[in-house]
Amino acid sequence: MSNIATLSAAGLIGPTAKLSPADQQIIESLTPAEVQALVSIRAKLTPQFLTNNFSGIQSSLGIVF
Amino acid sequence: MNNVSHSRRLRDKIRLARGELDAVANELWSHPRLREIYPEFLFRNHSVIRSSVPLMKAAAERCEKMLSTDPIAPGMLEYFRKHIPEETGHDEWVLDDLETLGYRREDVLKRIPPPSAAALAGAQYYWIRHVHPVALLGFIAVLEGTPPDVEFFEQTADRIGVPRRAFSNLLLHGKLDPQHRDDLDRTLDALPLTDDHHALMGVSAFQTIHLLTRVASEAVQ
Repeated sequence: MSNIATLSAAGLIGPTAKLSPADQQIIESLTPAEVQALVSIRAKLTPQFLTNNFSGIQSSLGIVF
Repeated sequence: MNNVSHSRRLRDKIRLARGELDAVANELWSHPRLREIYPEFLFRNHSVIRSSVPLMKAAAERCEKMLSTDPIAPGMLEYFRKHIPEETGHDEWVLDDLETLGYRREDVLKRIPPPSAAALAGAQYYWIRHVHPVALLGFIAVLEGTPPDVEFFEQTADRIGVPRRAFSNLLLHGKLDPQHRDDLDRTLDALPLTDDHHALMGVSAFQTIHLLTRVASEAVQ
């Protein structure tokens, strides 16, 4: 099963998400441990989430190091 | 992915996973009661930032012990030795900001930090002590990856009617962090990182995004 299929099955990549070839390559390069980490934290993966949910200025959260 | 630099490889993963963090950032900084929420945000920020230097010291200690056996330990140690003094005292900036808003330092320090902040820093102690200190670079890449926009935060201070000096932590980091982000990228690119190192940095970065989102979203609630 590909990483994209695993993350889609877990609901982390929506059916309408548009992943660029470069983004698909990044996701497929993730190791099983990284994929499991994403599933564990229920990360909404993909820039589509950003587009749909974040229309303001892309500023820092402000919690700094 | 083999033709991509180490820093690009890590930052691409962070970009894909940080959507919820950016959404919370937007919610926080556009919140209609931001003036009321801001001190709580600062308290949470302090809860996180107070661990920056101790975490790097813990990682540097591990690197020292691994110097003769681990090919990336020398480069990491060099980075931490340079970065520790650069970050020292930044937790005081947050206390200064809270003091400007009328909160006494001793009262802030007496308050128990939120468990989400303890989990955020605590996870890194786990990775450093029990797995590998390279995990901390994933944590730092998230926290220093999007430097505060100085103009945006100056305007935010003006908009909510608090003195700009109550935003000193963000304004100073806005000036420093672009350089710190580039320093980390140069360090990553110079290290002989393996796929295993990348996987651990990735897991650490994803966990950092998740817990940081919780720390911030709790302030908004």
